[in-house]
Amino acid sequence: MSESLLSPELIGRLGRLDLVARLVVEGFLTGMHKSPYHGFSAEFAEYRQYIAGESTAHIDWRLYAKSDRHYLKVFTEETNLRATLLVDCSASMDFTADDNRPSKKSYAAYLAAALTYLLLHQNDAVGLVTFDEKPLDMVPTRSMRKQLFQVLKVLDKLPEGRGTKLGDVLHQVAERIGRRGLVLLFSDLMDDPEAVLQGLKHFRHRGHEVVVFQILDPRERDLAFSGEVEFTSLEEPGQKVRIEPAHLAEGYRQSFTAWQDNLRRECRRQMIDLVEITTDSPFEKGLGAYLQKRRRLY
Amino acid sequence: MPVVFSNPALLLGALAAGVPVLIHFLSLRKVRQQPFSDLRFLTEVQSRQARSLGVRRWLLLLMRVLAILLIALAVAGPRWGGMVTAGQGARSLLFVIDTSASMNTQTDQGTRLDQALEICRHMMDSLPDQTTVQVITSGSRTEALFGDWLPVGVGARQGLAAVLPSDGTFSPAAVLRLAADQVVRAPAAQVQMIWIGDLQEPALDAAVEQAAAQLNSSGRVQHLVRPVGQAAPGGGILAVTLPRRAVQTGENVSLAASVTTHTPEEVLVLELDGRPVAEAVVPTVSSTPVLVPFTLPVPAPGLHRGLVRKQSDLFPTDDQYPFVLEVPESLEVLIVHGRNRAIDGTGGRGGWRFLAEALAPGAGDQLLKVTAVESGNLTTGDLERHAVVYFVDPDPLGRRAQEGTLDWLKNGGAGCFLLGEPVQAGYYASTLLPALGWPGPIQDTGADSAPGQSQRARVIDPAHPIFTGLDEEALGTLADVEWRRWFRLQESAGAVLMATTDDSPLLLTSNLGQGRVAVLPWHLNQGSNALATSPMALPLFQRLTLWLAGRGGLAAGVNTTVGTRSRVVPRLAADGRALERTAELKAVADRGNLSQAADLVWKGRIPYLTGPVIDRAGFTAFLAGSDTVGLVAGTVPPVESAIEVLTAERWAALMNGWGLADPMTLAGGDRNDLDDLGQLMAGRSLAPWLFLVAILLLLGELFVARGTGSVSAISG
Repeated sequence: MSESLLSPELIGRLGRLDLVARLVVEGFLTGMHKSPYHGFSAEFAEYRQYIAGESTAHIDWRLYAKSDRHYLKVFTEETNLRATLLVDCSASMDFTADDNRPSKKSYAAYLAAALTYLLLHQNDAVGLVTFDEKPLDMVPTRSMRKQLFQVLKVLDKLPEGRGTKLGDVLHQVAERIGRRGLVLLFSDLMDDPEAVLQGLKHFRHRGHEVVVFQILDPRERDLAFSGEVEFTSLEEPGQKVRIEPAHLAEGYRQSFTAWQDNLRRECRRQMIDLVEITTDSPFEKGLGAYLQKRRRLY
Repeated sequence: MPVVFSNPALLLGALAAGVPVLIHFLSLRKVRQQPFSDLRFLTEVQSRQARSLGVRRWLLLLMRVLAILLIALAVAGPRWGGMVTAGQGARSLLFVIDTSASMNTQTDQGTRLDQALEICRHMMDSLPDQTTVQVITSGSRTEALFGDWLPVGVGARQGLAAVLPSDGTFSPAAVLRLAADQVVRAPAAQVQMIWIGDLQEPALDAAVEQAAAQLNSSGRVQHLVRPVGQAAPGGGILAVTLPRRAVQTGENVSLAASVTTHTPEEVLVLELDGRPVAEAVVPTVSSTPVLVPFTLPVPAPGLHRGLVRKQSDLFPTDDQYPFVLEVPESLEVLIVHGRNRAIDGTGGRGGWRFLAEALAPGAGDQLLKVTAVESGNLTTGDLERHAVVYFVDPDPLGRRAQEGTLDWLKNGGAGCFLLGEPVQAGYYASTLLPALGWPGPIQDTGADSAPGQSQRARVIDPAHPIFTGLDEEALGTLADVEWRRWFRLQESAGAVLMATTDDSPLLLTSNLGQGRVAVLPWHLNQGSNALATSPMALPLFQRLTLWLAGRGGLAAGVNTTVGTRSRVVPRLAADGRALERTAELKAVADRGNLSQAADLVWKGRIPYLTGPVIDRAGFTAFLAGSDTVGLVAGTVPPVESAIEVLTAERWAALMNGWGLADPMTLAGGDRNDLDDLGQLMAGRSLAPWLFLVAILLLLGELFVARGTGSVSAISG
């Protein structure tokens, strides 16, 4: 797999989210040495040709003896995972410092779409909730094939966001999701850290496994702007700060790192997977983090 | 004490200090708008650092502005505490460089003049660009080096190469007069006059105070004095005394050299025409002049180059003293007498025939060639061919004859007036004697009509050349002559060399212009005295004639001092008009300006050849084609041989005495040290310190700028 094929810049130009999801997932899977589909169930589904590099554990040696070809036995899994994708649509997610890179919201949408595609192909049930200050759209959790279309339809047209009240939203959503499952949160977590952590704890309290994809623009980390800049808050447009970033970057990075360290520490304490992704990162990082989590769970 | 700038135009560079200010305010306006996800960390940092950053940002701006200002100031060449550059505005500097003979004294660093020029160059290098300079040199001549004031720079500096040494003397009066002329033309309102020289005490000159007043009235001038060189021990030949009369071949004449010596047993050598003819030893060291006699046998007629020399020292110029010895082949004497009358007897009118016999006894080959003419037939052309003219009881001269006689005398002629005719007393008293500058009535003693009233004569000045060498017997014989009748003249009219026992002058001398005049208020006939029959008539009149002929005014061989214009009356074999037909007349000096054209000027029927001002001690020969027709010996003025030099303070006090206000000294601890001169004159340069502070500010700026930014919060 060529990494550039899955770069956010290139994927962003494709436009169609279903295509993006398929390309991302298929490309990602083709590069893996071990198929994520194996070992999930004992019910045989079909044979498929062995691809060099895959594990030889499921090769049907009898069939090889007859046909002199390697085939793998593919098993159909029974669904036992309910995944709920929570996508932050607040105004802060619209930020991108580089027009060639997708905004955090777009990046979240691509990643969510790819995971939806992956989950549904594993016959998991997928649901979607978008939110800003409050929940906006909700796609109920199902494992049907057409669920992909439902989810992608919402992700394709994420609304213009407003402010963020992430803690409140997480509490509301946690109350709505019934059965225990996997909660995948796509957000920059730009809100009161205490409120956010309380919301996440709520999910844990109700027995959910939580993976948080913290999506950030690289510039939000390093504040690499030149000259004098007047920053305007995306969530509160009246608020402005005029600085010379080059001279304040160090203090900024210290504050930012402290904030992130706090998030990491608290997530670790609550056994929440925090995946820090920047919008210039390839999507494999997000997908890989999910698969790791899935493997630990099942 | 104010700060001045060498290049004030460069102060415009201080405008560059506005650049950081401009950038500062432009940067406030050029702000990039950037939407951002969350301002919490920015506001947090802002609240933590905004105040100190704001202060530091203004501090940075201040440091940058200050650094640029300091650099601009430093580049403009600030100086503080200079004596020359003190005060504001453009200024003109008038350098006065002593080029006198003593400036040729050797030092460790060349001559004193070399040092003076180096100091002048050094000073010029220290001056701000807008300064204008002029240089006056004073030695054999006093002159301005540049045609007009020049801006200080390479041109002026290179112009100093045209300053030449001389063997003349420094003339403060001439300097002040020329300075007054230059100061009026100075571009700047203030003129600083810097005197650079060895500060030898100048000869007294009454004109110096008048010149100082002239300079003071011409504008505001500040005087600064910079001494050069130290006292240089050594001796010199200050003068050589030559016979003050015409000499004749074969006789022995006495010369006297006036010398100071620095080492014992100093040997003096007398040379004539390049050959040593006598030696003398000065046994002891003497800083005051001693007279060293020489006896010189007079050589064949002609112009001879003489020289007295001693061992050379640090100031070699005065260690040899040149002189010209002119030995005439013959001296033409003209006797102008009144018309002979019967009562005048064999002696003729006034006894002129006795005089002719006394001057040229017999018909032999005599030095003196005598011719006689009646005063009524006298023409001015008669005078000019003669060395000495005797007027013996002349009849009243016509106006043209009298004016011609006076002109001839004033231009260097030599005349002797024997006036003893009572009937001419009115003419003498009212016309002839006043024309000679001897006013006042004359009184006929009438002694011949009063027997027993006769007088004896006595010599008043036996040291006069007329009498030197005469023994007591000879002088006694002269005193024994009986004087019966003479005119009583005022003593103040001339120098009395001989008088009667009752102090009535019998022989008076004086100078008239460049000429020499003797008046004898008696004549040689019996009624007046018995001198005509005395054995002393011959030596007295011959000596008087030689003395009168040795006046030098019409000489081809001239002894003079450096700084005067060389001039001779050419020694010609034929008619002087032949000079005009000579293609090339030139004056050739053996030192200095070697060869220049000589000017031929006629005064009446006397030709004068004029050459350049004598700059260096030595001989200047006047050539007409290949013939030497004149010779001038230029000698160092004795004042230049002084060993001691004044301190700058003493010289300043001297200037104060002339009327020049508040002269300051530019002397450091060592008169030869140039290191402190720039500071003394132009002040201490502040540029290094300003550069240092600017560099420190820039380093500080780098330190403060590290991690610093400008922050301002605009709440929406």
